[in-house]
Amino acid sequence: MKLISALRKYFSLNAAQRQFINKGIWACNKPAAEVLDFIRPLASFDTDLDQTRSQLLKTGCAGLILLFIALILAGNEVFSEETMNLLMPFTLALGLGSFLLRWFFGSYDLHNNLRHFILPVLESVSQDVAPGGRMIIKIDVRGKTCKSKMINQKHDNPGWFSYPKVSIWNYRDYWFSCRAKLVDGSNLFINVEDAVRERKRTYTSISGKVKTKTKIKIKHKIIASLAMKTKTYDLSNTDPLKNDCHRLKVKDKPQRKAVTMVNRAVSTDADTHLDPMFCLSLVGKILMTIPTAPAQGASHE
Amino acid sequence: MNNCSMKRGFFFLRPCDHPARNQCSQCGQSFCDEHLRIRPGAGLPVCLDCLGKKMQRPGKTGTDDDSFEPAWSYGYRRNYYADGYQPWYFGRQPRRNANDGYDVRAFDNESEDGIDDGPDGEAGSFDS
Repeated sequence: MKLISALRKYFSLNAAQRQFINKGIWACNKPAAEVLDFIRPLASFDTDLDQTRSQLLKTGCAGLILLFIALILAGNEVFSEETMNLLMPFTLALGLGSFLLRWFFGSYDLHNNLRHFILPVLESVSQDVAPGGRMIIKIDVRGKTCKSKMINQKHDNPGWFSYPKVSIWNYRDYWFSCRAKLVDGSNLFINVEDAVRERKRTYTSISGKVKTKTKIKIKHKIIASLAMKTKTYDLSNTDPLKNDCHRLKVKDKPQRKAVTMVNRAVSTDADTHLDPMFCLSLVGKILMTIPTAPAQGASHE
Repeated sequence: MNNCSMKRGFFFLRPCDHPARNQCSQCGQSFCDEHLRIRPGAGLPVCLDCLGKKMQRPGKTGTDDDSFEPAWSYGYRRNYYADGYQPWYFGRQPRRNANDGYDVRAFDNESEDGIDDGPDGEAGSFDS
């Protein structure tokens, strides 16, 4: 069972990693290797915890089904009273215990974006961090609909027993940013933010029943920016990049040009994770499209 | 003893400057200790590139325990290049390395080692 593995991994985490699990926020300015050493065990623990919670859900359901069967058998007096006195508490404990344990472990569960998006992106980017360079990381995996992320709310309530009632909550979730200097001298900046809209509608159905439906819509905004050295890259024409993203921004600096590409994606599940390719492809497109600057003195030859 | 045959990097490839210690049991090339792992069960050394290739299956992005090994990113890199990305290459070796099969691009105005490790005069390039 994965429960033992998850517990073993949790107890092997250090104090800072356990604090991250409790708070869901982490910010650091560390060498790439240290950043990965911090996140890898957390991602591994989170995988086991997800599998544990899935197993507990199945065990809980099985326990409740067994309890139901035990109650039927008790009614038909199939087993002796002594057997039933053992069977009933056991199935009840198995069912309820599994659900309680699953609920308890929920508070330790990190958003899947940590292991499906953040870790792959950092694994890839860290390989190109300049020697001795550091990564500035901000991670927030507290959840997309936590109260502190709410920016506004709107309630349309016509009164007692009057329907439909509609409530809308809007959240802004800045859950990942990374800044690093790469081996070619460029400064890389990655930022991911989500605009979350949660809509709860209570209405009366045709049969007269009062029903409530909750819908969630998440707009992901992925920003990848490279401040590239003008002596290394020829940044005179960035127009070809316009077709590869939703928004392109080019900012002039004395020694560099910052090329920023923005892509958007939409999902309808708060637990959905983002594909790391959304982000890495933006950086790749910039590096594939921008040519190198001609060698110094080449024009005089 | 030759240097390690592994290419470091993701967007920018560069040769590993560590001396090779052992051969990969799958591709036969020589690698340093950092880029070799002992294959569980078989007890034979395998390079991170070959190991990463095994870890990568279509549509898989970090779900199993092996995804949290450094080798995973080497396999992911291979898949990423298959989508059409040609990495920049720092170094004096030929543009296309027949052994690892990556199509690479080289800088025209490359410095001695190609790697920028000078002071950053513009740390806040993204500040508005």
